Amino acid sequence: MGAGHDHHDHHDHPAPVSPEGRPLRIGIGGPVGSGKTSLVAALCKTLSDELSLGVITNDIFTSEDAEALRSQGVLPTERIVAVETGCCPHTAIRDDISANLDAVEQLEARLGDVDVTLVESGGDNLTAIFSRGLVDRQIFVIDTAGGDDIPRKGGPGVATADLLIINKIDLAPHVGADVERMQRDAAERRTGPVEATSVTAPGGVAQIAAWIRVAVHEWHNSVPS
Amino acid sequence: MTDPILEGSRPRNDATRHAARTVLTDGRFPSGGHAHSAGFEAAATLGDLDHPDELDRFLDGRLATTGATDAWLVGAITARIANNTIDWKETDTEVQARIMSPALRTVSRTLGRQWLRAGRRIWPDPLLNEVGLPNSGNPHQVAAFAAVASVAGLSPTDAIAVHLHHLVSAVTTAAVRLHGLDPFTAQRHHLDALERWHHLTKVGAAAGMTPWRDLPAPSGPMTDIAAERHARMNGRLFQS
Ligand SMILES: Nc1nc2c(ncn2[C@@H]2O[C@H](COP(=O)(O)OP(=O)(O)OP(=O)(O)O)[C@@H](O)[C@H]2O)c(=O)[nH]1
Ligand SMILES: [Mg+2]
Repeated sequence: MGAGHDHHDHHDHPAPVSPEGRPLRIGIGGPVGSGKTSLVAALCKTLSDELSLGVITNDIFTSEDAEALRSQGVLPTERIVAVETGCCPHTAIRDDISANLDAVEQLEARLGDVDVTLVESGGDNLTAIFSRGLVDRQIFVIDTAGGDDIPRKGGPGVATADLLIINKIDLAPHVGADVERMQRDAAERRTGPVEATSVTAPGGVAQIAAWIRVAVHEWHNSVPS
Repeated sequence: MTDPILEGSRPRNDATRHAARTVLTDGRFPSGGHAHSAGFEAAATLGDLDHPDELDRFLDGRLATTGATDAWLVGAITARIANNTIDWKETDTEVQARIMSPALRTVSRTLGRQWLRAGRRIWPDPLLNEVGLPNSGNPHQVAAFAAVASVAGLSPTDAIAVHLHHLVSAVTTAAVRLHGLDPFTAQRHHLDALERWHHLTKVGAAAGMTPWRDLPAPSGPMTDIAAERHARMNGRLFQS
């Protein structure tokens, strides 16, 4: 890319330009332990051959999730950056996005070729959504083991995320969770898609990866206003 | 004296100035400060800051060193901006020379970028394009803050007062989050500390055009040592 490319026919084919000319940024939020890091790991494995990815983790303790991802070898280590959030994960993704925005912009500038930046929030509560100033799309991850009444309780995460994931359906029988009821309750709270899956199972993120491919395509082909 | 173009783009009436001061003082101002404890977590893990008297002593230590140094720096920078004689390269060198710990230098530049990003979005002003130039977009926090405060229309005294407020606030907020300090008590400590050190706003503003080399830079080695250890510490909750 860049200096070497000889694409001069932009009169016929407008070059794909994303709004603001930057990568698509996707936030991944949800309660503690619902499977956010596992989802990021699985997405990196699934998508890294076709898309250039960057990952920002928000950790309660120093850089735990970033280390977990690095040690799994799902992406080159320089593509994973940890942001520390001073006891307040939701503040860092919503009210004061400065540290995250700084990390995102630094990472994207350093790598230069990123198509999608994934920002994992620290585990938080049902009201923690990402600011539109930080991400362009958001995925909210809940799980069957966290209680099957969570979709009914609702809250901004469940109601407004662009994609809601009900994770760990493999555990549902063991914890007495009714996945179909969770899906029904979720559908009542929101209009967007709901995906029930186990992100750690083989092929468990296929649908989510497909959703991301579409989002990336739309983003990089949309005409700036 | 002052550049009419710059002058014209900056708020110059009491209403905008007052509004800007209020917004810049608010702990919710999105400049990333919430993830920093101004050395409290470092000191608390190395020593014992559980006792309220210890919190006051710690605040006194911060204000007597970093607080005073920053007051002079913010005073000197805002005066030079107002006077149109600011040299950002020189400023960068002078600020850098007053921060000993490499970890704290990094933190200062991170916070500087964040202040600048927030400032540019809220108060677009050509001055804010220049602050980061000497260090490829990575100004020190006091430089970025002083520039933002200036374009927002704050006086040097107000800029220093706001800066010291955030220094104290970082400490007391960390005490609430890490030690469960009663938030009402925290506000009392905050208030008392700002009162005890109120003179710094006047002393700092009096720095004016004093040559850089004549500006004192009080510091305490424990702050820098603790910061270095904190930066290497596992399981910390705050960036600094
Ligand atoms: N059985 C099962 N376990 C899962 C699944 N997804 C994640 N887990 C497990 O759930 C635990 C937490 O997963 P993480 O991916 O670390 O969750 P997280 O949301 O990133 O956690 P925090 O960042 O601490 O909030 C780990 O032990 C995972 O292996 C799943 O689909 N099924
Ligand atoms: Mg995680």
